[in-house]
Amino acid sequence: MFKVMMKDLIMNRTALVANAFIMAAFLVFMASWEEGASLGTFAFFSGLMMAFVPAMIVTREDKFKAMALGCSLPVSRKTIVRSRYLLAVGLAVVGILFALSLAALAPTSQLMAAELFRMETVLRALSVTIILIALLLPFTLRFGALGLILVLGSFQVLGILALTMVKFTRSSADKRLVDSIIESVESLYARFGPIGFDLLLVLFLAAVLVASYAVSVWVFRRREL
Amino acid sequence: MTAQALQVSGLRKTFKGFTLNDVSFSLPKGHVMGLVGPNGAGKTTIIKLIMNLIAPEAGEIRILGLDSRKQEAKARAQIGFVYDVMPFYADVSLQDTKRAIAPFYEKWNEALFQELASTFDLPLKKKVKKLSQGMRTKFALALALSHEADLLILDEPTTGLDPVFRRELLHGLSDLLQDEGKSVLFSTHITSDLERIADYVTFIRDGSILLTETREELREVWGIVRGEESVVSGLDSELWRGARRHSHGLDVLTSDASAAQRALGESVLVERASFEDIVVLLDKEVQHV
Repeated sequence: MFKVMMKDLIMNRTALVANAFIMAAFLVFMASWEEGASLGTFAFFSGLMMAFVPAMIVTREDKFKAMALGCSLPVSRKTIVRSRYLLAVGLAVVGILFALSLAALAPTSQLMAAELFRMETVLRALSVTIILIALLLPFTLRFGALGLILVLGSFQVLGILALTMVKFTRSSADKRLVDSIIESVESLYARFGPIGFDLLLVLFLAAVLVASYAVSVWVFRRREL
Repeated sequence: MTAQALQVSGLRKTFKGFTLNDVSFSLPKGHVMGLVGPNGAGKTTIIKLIMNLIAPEAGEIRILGLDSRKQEAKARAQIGFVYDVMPFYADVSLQDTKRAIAPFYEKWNEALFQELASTFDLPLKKKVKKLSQGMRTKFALALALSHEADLLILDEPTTGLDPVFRRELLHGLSDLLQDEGKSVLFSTHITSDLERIADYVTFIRDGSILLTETREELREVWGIVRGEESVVSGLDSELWRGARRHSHGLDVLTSDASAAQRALGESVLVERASFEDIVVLLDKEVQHV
């Protein structure tokens, strides 16, 4: 498994470094933006950006038609998928810590270093990343770059449909849905307290990852190269 | 210990407009088998099935006794594979590609890789995209040979190579087989490659195996009967394996040149059939006139 992760890191080294620089510039800009810099937004966007790193690894492999190389090495497809998930989570954790460190160290940053490294901030960013990784990886492993387009395209279409429906039916279903999610989260927080809630969140993220991993193994084993 | 390097039995795979149908053959250890057929015959599909890159609908593949699907990682550790389309990251150097791949193989021989890289004049610091098709094939070969695989599977390895290197490659494969344990399966549509090194030849067309035979058998027993239609068509139909009509008469492929000569007499020319003759004529509509 470690060999597959190393292979991915070596084969994508330049792209990863280039992305790190672009992300760093964006994150420093975001942290320094006087009107827009907020801890929540920063955590959300950090998590969002990190989620696309593992997808980039798979889509680059697809671009060079190099999946046949990985799948002809002496390693099972299940191991390849497992390695991809581990690498994705590893890169997400490192990436988020890198993002938070940048925001803490940038002289122009509007965000407070003490706030940045609170468990809540780290988990908030990590939640965004993990949920997106769990959604993106089965599609990218099955369809390559097309999978990424499919997911993003589906989000666009769903968004348009939801807004159109809300507009024409004059319903406030969208608002009610968001409110009910927030209320549920708040009631869980109130019920279990900060530590219990964090633990619950970690368990939820782990379950999401495991479910996504199972789907990925199933689809990747059936992928024809 | 199995005596077979590769056993393929009852393999079936269907794509839109193409079916690989009940493909079976086996390659004994220490031998070279050429898989020959026209483009689209199913050569690459068979190789992809062996490498587990696509899944069969039916059939079984055993690589040095290991099930290619249930023991995929173990089986592939025994294989050196050269692809028809090189699946390397174009923006990564040869050196880095090797660095990423080598750890997967327990028997990786770095000294051998460096020797092959030197023999093939591989510019290890260059990115893959800077290489010609021939150089990419050489690189893939160096990788395939450097982990001391017991079975080499080469999909159209000589395509895109200059004649000098093609000959060198074929000689190299022959040398490799001096180590009796090594076996090679290679697909090609260049029949002259087979005449040089193949011990066994498997002919494939339209997804079906037409024939698997030893090189000696094909060289010594098979023949082409050439002559006027009225004379050649007198040949017993059991000896016909294919025919082609042309302006001067008829060419008939026979699986028993001596019998054909005896049946038709000295007035008819019976020549040794080249592999190309066999590829072109085998199972072509036999027209009795």
